[in-house]
Amino acid sequence: MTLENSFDSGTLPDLRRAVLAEAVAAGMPDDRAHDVVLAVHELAANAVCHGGGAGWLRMETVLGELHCFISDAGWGDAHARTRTGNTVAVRQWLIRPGHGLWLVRDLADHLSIMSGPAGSEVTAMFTLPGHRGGHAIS
Amino acid sequence: MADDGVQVRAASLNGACVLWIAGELDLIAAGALAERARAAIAAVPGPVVIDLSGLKFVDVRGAHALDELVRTLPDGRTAAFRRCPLRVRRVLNLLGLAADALPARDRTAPQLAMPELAAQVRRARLEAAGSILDVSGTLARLASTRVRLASTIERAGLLREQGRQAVASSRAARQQLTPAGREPELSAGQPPSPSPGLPL
Repeated sequence: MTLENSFDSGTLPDLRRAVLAEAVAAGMPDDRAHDVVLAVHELAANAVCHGGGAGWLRMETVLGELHCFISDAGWGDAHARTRTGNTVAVRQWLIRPGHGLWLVRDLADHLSIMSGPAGSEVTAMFTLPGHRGGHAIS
Repeated sequence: MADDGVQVRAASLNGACVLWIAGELDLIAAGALAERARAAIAAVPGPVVIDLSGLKFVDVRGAHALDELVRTLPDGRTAAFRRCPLRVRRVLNLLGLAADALPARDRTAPQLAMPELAAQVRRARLEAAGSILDVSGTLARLASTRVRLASTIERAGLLREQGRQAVASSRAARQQLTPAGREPELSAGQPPSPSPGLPL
């Protein structure tokens, strides 16, 4: 199963509902499905707040893991040039205690983040019940 | 679903002000929470009881907004949560927020409520254990060095003894040789001095 969805600040509630339906359909138990919703929401909120105001989500099941891939276009070159290169995006995606990414790191079984002035690509992975995690994505 | 995600209203109940927060409290809705909550409770006196039973979703910003709300009530009014859904409680506990406003049974152990502090304690314990290991390793190395040193001293004594014996036996051998071979050899030729051909 695959879910592909673009989002912005006005469609976050719809995104959450779509993610919940997808997670449940993939076989995620109720509690964990809500963890997936919260994690994807926080990543989407990051994209909305720091990644240019909108983003794109793709969810799919790979080898017993639910992969949630969130990308955004960043602030673009003009914005990056006005500050100091990479530091803009990297600073904004820092994992700080009490912040969204910090929580996502706790919720997801794996988390990978690539971020730069041209945008970010984040993948959060959740192991489905009955599978041992860690065999997908290096 | 409500248009703006979250609904807020207050009512008087047994002398308390029950503040009902329901819906989905995400970063969009969180921005307006404080103002709407203050407006709602301004009309109802008494300690504030925040009923969260209708709260379907809370994100990190929403959790911070709830925390901010219970910490900054006007006129010294106090606030406590009641009927906090499990999922909302989970987010608050994960973030270590609004712990005082949750009923005691709903709070997690301190190590969950304060993950940073707990991690520091864990690290300190690990470091202490590592130091103890280091010290005991050093002590063990010291002990083995002492043993090696003692055996070296012993070996040195043995060698010295062997040397002494060798010197003694070589001296004895020389003394045996002296009358028979070497001394006569040396004295048999011309004595090196005084040389008769050389003027003095």
